[in-house]
Amino acid sequence: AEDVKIRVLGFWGNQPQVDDVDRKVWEGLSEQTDGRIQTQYLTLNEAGIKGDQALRFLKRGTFDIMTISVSYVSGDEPSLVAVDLPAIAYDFDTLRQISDSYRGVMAERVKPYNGVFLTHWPFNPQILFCKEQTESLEALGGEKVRVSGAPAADTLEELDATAVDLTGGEVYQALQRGLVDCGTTGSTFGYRNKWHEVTSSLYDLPLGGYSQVIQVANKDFWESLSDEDQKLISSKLSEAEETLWEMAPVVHEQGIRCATGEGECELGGDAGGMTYADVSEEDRTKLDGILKSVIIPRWKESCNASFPECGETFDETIGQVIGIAD
Amino acid sequence: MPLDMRHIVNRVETAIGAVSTAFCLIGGWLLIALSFAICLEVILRKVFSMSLQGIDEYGGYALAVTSALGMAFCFYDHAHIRIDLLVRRLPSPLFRASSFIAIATLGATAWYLTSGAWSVTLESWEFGAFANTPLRTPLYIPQGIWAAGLTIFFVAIVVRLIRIVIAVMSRDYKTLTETLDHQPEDEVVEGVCGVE
Amino acid sequence: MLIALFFISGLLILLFFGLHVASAIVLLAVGADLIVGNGILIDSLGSIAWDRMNEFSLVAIPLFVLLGEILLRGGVADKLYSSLAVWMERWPGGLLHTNTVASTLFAATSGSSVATAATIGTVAIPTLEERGYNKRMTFGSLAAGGTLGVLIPPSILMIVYGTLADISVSELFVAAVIPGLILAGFMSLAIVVVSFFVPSPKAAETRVPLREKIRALREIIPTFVVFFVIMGSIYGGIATPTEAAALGIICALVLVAMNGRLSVAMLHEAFQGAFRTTSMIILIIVSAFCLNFVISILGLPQSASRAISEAGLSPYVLIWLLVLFYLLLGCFLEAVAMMVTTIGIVVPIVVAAGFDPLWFGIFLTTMMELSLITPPVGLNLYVIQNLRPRGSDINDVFIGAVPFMGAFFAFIALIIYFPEIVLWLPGLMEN
Ligand code: NA
Ligand code: NA
Repeated sequence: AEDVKIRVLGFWGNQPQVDDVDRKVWEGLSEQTDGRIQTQYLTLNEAGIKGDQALRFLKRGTFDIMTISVSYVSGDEPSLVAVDLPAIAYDFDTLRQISDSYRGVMAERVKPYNGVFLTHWPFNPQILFCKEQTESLEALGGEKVRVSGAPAADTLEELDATAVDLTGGEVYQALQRGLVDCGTTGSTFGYRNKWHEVTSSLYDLPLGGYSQVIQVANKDFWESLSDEDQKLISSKLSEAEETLWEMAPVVHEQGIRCATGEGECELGGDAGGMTYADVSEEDRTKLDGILKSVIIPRWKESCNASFPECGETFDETIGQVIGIAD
Repeated sequence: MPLDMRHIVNRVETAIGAVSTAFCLIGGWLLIALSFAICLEVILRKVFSMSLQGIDEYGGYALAVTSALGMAFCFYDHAHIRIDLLVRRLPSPLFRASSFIAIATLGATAWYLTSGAWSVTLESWEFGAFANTPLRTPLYIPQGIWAAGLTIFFVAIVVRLIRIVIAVMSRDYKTLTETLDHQPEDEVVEGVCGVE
Repeated sequence: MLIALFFISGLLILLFFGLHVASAIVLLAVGADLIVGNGILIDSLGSIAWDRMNEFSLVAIPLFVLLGEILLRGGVADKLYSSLAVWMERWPGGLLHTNTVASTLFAATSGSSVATAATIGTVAIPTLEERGYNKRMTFGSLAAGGTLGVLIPPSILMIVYGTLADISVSELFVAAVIPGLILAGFMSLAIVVVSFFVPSPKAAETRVPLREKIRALREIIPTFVVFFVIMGSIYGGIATPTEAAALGIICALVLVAMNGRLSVAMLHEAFQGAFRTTSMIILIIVSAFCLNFVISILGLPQSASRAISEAGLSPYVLIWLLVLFYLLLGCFLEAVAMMVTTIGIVVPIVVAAGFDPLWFGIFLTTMMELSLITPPVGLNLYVIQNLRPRGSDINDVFIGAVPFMGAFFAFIALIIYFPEIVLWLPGLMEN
């Protein structure tokens, strides 16, 4: 068979999903084929790009394989972010159902960008690290919260909290000095970046979604591959996809253990002493109301222009899973 | 014939120069307005826990747009840094050739940026792209202004190159001296310019 | 490693052909892309440029530059200088210290070295020449003092470093305060040492009465006000660095208005000055990102860091090699370009060797400062040269800067072996 060179764009480095799974899968291909397939794996940090123009890079064929955050690209293609709206799910089983129901839609929606849909997986719920005790939506009211993206900011507005947008590197300082009261991030990421040193309360509300990504191939590249190579890559990726779905709750749990100091911390460093609060049943009902009465309608409006059937499609897929009755 | 062309080109260049200076002043007032808005935002946030929303978004656009609009002004002001220490010691014709190549290369750079900017803008238009912020600004608007700013930069360089070519053909040494010879302010633009 | 050398030498060659810094970088990137990258950069250029130019954290650059311009044209700087002169003329080295101290204070309101050198230089050169000071020492102390503009916060180079390396700019600002003061102290020390060999002229016979001296101090107040507005709002959790710059501008407008110097014409001059700098630096940043994109697709940073880690250098050897590397590169390259094109490769290597990226930010800023006073390409040297009559010998400025390079090396050694100097204050803030 022919020699193949694959240029892969991953997501942000320094997280287990990328360093231990995704990167290894791609770099492992070379070994398995005795060097016939050569891959070059770059993370967003390594390439020095932000990731919100990923679909444009896909269309131009800059990379052969791309890992695309559905929320980053929601300005270019709003339909994809449906799986990752704030507080759309509180557990990974539901999230997986949502994802599976919408898979076909995502596969269809990347086609105009010259994309071939391969896999879809979540990182961790983007939960709240707060300075003050925050165990309920009520306590969140009036707080300044660092989030990015329109749906999360809209949700905060409904909760009478203030959304503040800050550059990633500035958040730790901002929390420390009280410029913001809370920030959203994954538990492990927050722990690794020592947010537990400047905050005291961990509120397990996936306000920033689950940082979900899809992995997509450039169509021209994909069609240039032999059938057996396509199969090889597809099977490796399906395996990795399963691993990544199984991994997400574990990584989330690890981060919580380390940030709270309860249970064994396997991430190294000095575990924190944060308090942990889950979202109460009552608050979930309230968030569900906001999701269905504000966030989803606004999202539908935003994707209508480029994809007029997006509302219907949503109701038929994700809507069935989360129980939208109209 | 060349004399007419010369007049036209000179006029065009004067016009672009005036436009770029005007944009630079508009950009400056934009920065002052942005400062006041940020000031208000900081006070609202600290005292009332409120936010104007979108300051950071508009601030980002302001940087893109103003720095693009400032590029042409910078070019006329010899503010884009060029290191001519070695070539300055060359005989005048060679130095002028090097200046010409430098301007042409800067033109190529401006062309790459300008065409890239337009293709990003057209993509945004095509996708109906909007900013992933509560304001959901249609991206082709700030990007279009940004691309237009870079276009002025590119056009300014092209007009300058045409002017030089005409000057060479008509042996207009005054223009050649003005456009190609070492300008003392190339080292550092009159007092305050550089950054570091 | 070979490719890295290829890129650096390619860049230097293009620069010495007299190309503009930005276009030399873009040309190199496009060339490399056409040869090995199949033109992917050219397609992506617009996206890369938009990503970088539409960035709120970089808005701090035009704002801090504009702030400096307003203070300069608003007459804050000359008053600052004359009030300090009253205090320092009797020190060994005399008014030369005024250059350092005035630069230090002005640096605390200005994000740029060149602006600092130009501002203080404009005021100082006539005064010192009139009093008969050694001209080389005058120029050297002004060029070197000006570099404090980027080490003492606020600093444009730190904004660039923080944005690129994803380090908090506020934390860099905090970390830089003590090192900035120490370096200023070392510069004064260099003046004292040199003044043993080149005595300064005698101060005026009549002593200025203490009351008048104290009254002169009033002129320093505006500078302190601006500094405390900027740094206080950052430390106090009121503002991000970009927001602090905006607060500084409003504050400067008020102060200049109180000085009676606020006018539309003055502001328009300040705008032009600010745009010269901003557009120039943004163009360089965008082009450097294009080059970064190409070299990271070529796998250059990864293979460079692998090569370095396999070489098994000790951290100290590594960091001294970097001192040498930046010293040599800094003789020929412009600072922003040098910083932006090397961060992507060097920061991962240094962090892997166990250095704190915050500390490295201060180290790198210091190396960039040094590059501003190393001939032949050292912007501050030309700023000072530019303030002199046409046709003066630039060697006077070059030679005058030499003792201050000594101060830099002593300072660099100090922060390498006592990194706490950098990390102590940010650490203190954490508790
Ligand atoms: Na400064
Ligand atoms: Na230098």
